[in-house]
Amino acid sequence: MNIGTGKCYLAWATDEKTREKGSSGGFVSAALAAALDKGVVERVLVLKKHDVFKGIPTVTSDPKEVLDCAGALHMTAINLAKYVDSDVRIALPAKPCDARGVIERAKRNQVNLDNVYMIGLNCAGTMHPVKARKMVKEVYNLDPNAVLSEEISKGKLILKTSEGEKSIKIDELERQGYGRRDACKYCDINVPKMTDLACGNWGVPRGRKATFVEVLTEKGREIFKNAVDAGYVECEPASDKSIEIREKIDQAMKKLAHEWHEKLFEPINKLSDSERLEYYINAFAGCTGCGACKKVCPVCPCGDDAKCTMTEFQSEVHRIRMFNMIRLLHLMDSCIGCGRCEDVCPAGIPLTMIHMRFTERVQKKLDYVPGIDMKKPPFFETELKEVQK
Amino acid sequence: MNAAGPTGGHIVRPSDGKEPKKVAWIQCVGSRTKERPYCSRVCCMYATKEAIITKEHTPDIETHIFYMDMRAYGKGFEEYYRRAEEQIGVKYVRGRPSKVSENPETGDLTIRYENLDTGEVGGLEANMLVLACAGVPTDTNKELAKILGVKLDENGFFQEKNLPLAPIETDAEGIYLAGCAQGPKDIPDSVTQASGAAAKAIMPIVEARGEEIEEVELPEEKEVKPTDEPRIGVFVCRCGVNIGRIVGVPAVVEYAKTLPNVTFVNEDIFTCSDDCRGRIKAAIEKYDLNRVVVAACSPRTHEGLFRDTCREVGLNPYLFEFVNIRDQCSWVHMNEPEEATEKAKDLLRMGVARARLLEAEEEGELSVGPECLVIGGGIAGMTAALELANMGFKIKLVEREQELGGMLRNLYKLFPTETPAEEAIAPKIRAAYEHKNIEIYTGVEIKDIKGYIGNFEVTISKKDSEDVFNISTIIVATGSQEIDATGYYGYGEYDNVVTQLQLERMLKEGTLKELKNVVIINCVGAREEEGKTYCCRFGCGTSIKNAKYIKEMYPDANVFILHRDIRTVGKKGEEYYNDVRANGVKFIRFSKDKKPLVFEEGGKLIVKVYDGLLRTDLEIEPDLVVLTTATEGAKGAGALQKMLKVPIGAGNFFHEAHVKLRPLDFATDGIYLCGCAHSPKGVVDTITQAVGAASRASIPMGVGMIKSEGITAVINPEACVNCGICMTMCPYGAIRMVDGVTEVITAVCKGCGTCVAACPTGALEQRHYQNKQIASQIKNVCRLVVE
Amino acid sequence: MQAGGGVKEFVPKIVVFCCNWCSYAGADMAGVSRMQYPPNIRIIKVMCSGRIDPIFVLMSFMEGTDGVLVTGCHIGDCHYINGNYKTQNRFEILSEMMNELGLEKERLRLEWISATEGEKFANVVKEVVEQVKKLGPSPLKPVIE
Ligand code: SF4
Ligand code: SF4
Ligand code: FES
Repeated sequence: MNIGTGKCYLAWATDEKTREKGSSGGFVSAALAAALDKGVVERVLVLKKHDVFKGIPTVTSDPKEVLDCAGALHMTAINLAKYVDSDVRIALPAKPCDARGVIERAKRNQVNLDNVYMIGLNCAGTMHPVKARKMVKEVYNLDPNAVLSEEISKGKLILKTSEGEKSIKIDELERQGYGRRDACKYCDINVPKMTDLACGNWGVPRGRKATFVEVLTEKGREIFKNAVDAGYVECEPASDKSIEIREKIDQAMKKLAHEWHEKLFEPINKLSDSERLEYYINAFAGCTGCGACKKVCPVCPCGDDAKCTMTEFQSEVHRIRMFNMIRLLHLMDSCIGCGRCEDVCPAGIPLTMIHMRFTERVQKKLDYVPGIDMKKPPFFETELKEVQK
Repeated sequence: MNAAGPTGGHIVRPSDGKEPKKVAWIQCVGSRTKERPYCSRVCCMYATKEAIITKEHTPDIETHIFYMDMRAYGKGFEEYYRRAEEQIGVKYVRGRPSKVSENPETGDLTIRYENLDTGEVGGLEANMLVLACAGVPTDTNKELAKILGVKLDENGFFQEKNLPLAPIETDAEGIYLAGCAQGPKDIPDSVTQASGAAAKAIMPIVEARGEEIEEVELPEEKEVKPTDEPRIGVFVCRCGVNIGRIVGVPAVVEYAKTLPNVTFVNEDIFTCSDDCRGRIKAAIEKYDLNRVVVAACSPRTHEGLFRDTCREVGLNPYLFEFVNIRDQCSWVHMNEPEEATEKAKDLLRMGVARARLLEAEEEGELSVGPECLVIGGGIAGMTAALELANMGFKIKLVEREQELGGMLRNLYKLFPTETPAEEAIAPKIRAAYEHKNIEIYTGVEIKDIKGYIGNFEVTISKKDSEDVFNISTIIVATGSQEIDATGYYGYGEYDNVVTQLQLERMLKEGTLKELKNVVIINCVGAREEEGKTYCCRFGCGTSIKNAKYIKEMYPDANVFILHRDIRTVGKKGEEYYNDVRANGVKFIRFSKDKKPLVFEEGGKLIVKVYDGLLRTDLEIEPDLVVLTTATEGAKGAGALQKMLKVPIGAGNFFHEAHVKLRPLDFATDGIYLCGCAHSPKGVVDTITQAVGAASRASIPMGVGMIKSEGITAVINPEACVNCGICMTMCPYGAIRMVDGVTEVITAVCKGCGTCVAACPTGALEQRHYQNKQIASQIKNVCRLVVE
Repeated sequence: MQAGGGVKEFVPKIVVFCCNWCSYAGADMAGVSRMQYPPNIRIIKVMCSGRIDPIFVLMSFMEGTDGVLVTGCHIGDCHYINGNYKTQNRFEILSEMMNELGLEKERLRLEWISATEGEKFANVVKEVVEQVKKLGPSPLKPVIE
């Protein structure tokens, strides 16, 4: 079939095992493996399943290993952007925030985008592994270590153990304070339009084991076509109905995200200016300066020595550490809201939410959204811009 | 409107000191008349600027400008004019007022005028009127001309040797012209001509260049390591009574003694006096001081002096710190002696804190060899090449076409002197080929340019061979081209619609057939809303000149020039225009909203245009329509821009470093610009620029090196993550990445520190303005912790 | 200056960053013309306003200053071509950060002051000091026992 950029398809792995194992027809794994096999790329970066709560970012050149990693991990929270080594041509499955991280890193010369092939995955969110374990114990009444696999289907999280499976609605989990990470709840970028191929099960007709694939770039077309030519993948054009349904789901997810945004940000939104300052002073008071948030941040290109870590004197009298202030500053134009800092903060500071508060202001004022294209971040701008006040 | 002026920046009427509500300007007062036929060249933009500033100062003032033609011909002028009209709301009225009368009671003025666009006659009441009077030659020109033995032209400006080919020279050897001496001109054109004149003036004595420079002997510098314990000497000055009368100097002195690492403190009446500087030197030696702080006046006037004082006894000048307790303390807080004293202490504390962290810095040098690459073999490139070659520099002249000569090869005669274009280029081509210092490459492309001043590596390709050479400086003279006129006024559709360039060729080759009606349309694709917003500067002249030729060849032909403004700005331009108009060429003005139409009806070509004066549509049946099109930077400009990493703007014209003050330089050291690559222009301006650019390029090559101050940026490679942010910040191209590693080219760095502020890692530091040095000052503003 | 007992009058401290070529010279000009302005400012000179890392501004507040004035050459006049463009861009972001922090944005001001604008310098300083006095001590001022 003639595969074209800008078009949408339904595609699935020809290999039955991959089809079964993959979350929706195994297209992504098959296409990645095919790319390796036929030399379209030299490496693939995947999350290798350790257990359902832990995936280890792994760079491989073995197509078999790629196929072994088929299937999503919803209860891990890793951003792959920092693991992309683009000295050679490399492909990766990328959630929107992975992809946005990669793009922001490319702007900072940490990634050579020419060498990176991003197979984008629709994403409705992931869970924090520690909280997920707790949830398994308390809501599912299961031993976390006994969970063999998981799957999200029709709004339910299904856990499988050797005894059988148990499923609970994600809405219900979230009502009980579990479920997706906060950053995911209010993230409204669910379809990875900034990647080369956007893949997911939205729009796939009921009962079909297939992936809905939108070809976004020439590179995406190359990967797709290669997988078809190499016999790893079969496909058919997506019907208008499929396309419409996918769009509808996306819109619904966006709406939901906006509702969550309002709800989760409420405590800060309702504060007056001076109350907000108190809020921030208190929130950051718990910071121990461990630097974990900076280490995991996919946007930050710096090594251990950076302005934020080095400008740390007289902190005992500062009302907020310079470390926190500088990170807020440096991410003002570029935070992609992936939630990683919040995940790792031992003091439990709602960092991502705080960063988003700052970032959203700049993004609105300067009409710039990070991670969706190669547009210069406002901080890199050397020309005068008319600013709408 | 000058904030430092007598009214402190407020616009007031001379008569009663009231702020006007309505200000009018009248242009061309006393110029473009019988008596002074020339155009003063600057007033249209002056009036526009004044009107803008007036509106910015007081937004509800009404501003009206009466003009004849709006001569927004220079780079960026048209856009400025449009902004004034469309965004700021300056009102422009085309028309020459006939009478101004005053109401003796109110002092207000009534201006009677005829609007030449609509034919309406009206009166405008204004509170104040500004006259744009003709720029006239200086009174003393006559006498000076006599003394120098050079000629004046009929208007009293100095006469150049040859218009357009030698606009800087006079008839007398060794005497050259610059700026308004030769004729009215604006700042960029004056600076350009002055650069050119400087080059010309050095020519006869070029052999002796640099001979009389004396070197000063200095003692060897003593080594001061950052880890050495600081030993600071503080010298507080009373500046006679200037400081001492307000600031309690003794208290400041006592305070200084309490500050960490202060080893020696002294108070003097005039610290800058010879004997006091002697005491500073003695103290440095006696107490082994390794930092010196002077609390006195302004570093802007005295820093150099004290730096030298330190250096004279072997202390690196960068170990000196200045604290300003006069201009920014005693003089501005005359009624608050106590607070002034406290402030002086704070400032001193900040200064001492900074001094403790100062490091010895070296000033850099980079050698610049005598080789220059000139890109473009048109009149601009050839002129620049010859100029430099005559000074003894080695030139590589590169041209993409098979022949030298550029645009002028296609032209017939030049405006306004009717010099054959051939005459302008032929001698230069010959001279260039014959010159031992010029190596000519024709039919070649530039493939790559790497490096920086003194060290450019250039790769050129010719058919299938490549050639790599090193040069020190580069002059960009790539010229411009006509835009593709397809789609404008039936061009490409009707055979008898041609461009000026096509017409020039016909004139040159003598192939123009008999004509009855000719319509020339100006500003085609130029002065547009978007894209090519600029004026092409020479189009009006070209159209007038070519109209004249047609008329000369076929005196019975009707020749119409449809124009928006007539912008004949160069010397003799206005006079030429008047002649042609007097000789029967018809000028019809159209507005940008009512452009002429060109169409065919019944097999006949028809031009329809609205004549504002007659207030009616005119229909002409021409047998030739000539389009004066916009021009754009040459084809290769984009690629070249990427290689040189210099800025380029609208229409693919390159951006100079500073529109007014550095019109011939790029911000990047060692790269210069001239001719139409900079913006569209005629031959006089091109030649002037070319000589000027040569002059600019000759400076570093003549000196043989460039120097950098000890305040340049340095990268700590350990911390640098090669994000490249700094590279995008630097306006001088002083940061580059070699094999993925970022480095500062010290000799090119000017030490602004913009990159340092942007570096996220802190790997990048500015010497003498290090992060920690500035932080130490900030820390000591509030004295949270007294160290 | 806190004479016995009474309420301590608020004496704000304000950091002024000046570039070497224009605004520092403007400050000198204010002095040369003997323009009087309140003594609450402390000038820190850098070569170009483009050197002013927004971190310096944040640091000034954390260190207890009550206001910060960032100055440079007028747009188009920067000695380093366009350093002040970058200052302006950074300032846009920085002022937004102040807004979000809940720190009154009037405490931070950006002004272009030429070498001849001594009067402007004095006036701007007067305005800023007045403004900051109205606002009171910066809420980010360290509390030192
Ligand atoms: S901005 Fe700093 S970290 Fe980035 S390349 Fe430049 S010096 Fe290195
Ligand atoms: S200090 Fe200024 S001139 Fe030097 S490298 Fe940095 S940006 Fe360029
Ligand atoms: S030098 Fe003044 S702002 Fe750049």
